[in-house]
Amino acid sequence: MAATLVGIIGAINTLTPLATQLINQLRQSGETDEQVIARARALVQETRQITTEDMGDQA
Amino acid sequence: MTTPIRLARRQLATLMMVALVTYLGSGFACSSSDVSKVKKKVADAAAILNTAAKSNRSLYQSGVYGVVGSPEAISKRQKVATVIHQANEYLSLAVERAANLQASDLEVGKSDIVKLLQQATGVLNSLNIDNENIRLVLQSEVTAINAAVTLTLAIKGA
Repeated sequence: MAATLVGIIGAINTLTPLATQLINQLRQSGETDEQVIARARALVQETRQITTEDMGDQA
Repeated sequence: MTTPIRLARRQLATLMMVALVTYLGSGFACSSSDVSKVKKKVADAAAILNTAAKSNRSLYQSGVYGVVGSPEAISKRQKVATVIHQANEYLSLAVERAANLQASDLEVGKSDIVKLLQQATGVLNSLNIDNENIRLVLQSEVTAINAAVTLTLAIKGA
């Protein structure tokens, strides 16, 4: 019984840092493909707006 | 008349054929992570061009192109904005191509995207302006987009 408990605690101790590392990696790389494309579209649109304004004659 | 043994053999043969085709197909298929990498490179290029557009405005507003509001300064800002605008339209096409990119057409899609990014850098390279600051900004943007092109080409299907 005690040995089983020690085994479970050992497994939790081993897996917790791995799980934390995995979660951190997921957070960093976080974006889905859809989010990446949405970000790219927003950037393109913002660039288009800036350049359209700056191609004009206004000071 | 088909005997149960023959039927079982036929079903087994069909099953093995399906498994074989699936196995061979997986060897040639590209993983979804390769598609994601290409999409991220296109988004990187969009961010680079966005920075160029903002830099152009900043250089104008800070008087680097000449006195703010003067015809000379406005003309320089317009000239730079025009090439960035044209390059951005190529990039817009690249983004839409990337949006539809699938693992099954990665090589063709990658080639389409690289061509569009190269057209964008070609437009940026065509600018002839007598201002060292914006020339440096645009050169660095071209270098960064070229790096995105190189990295995109380096992405190989699994």
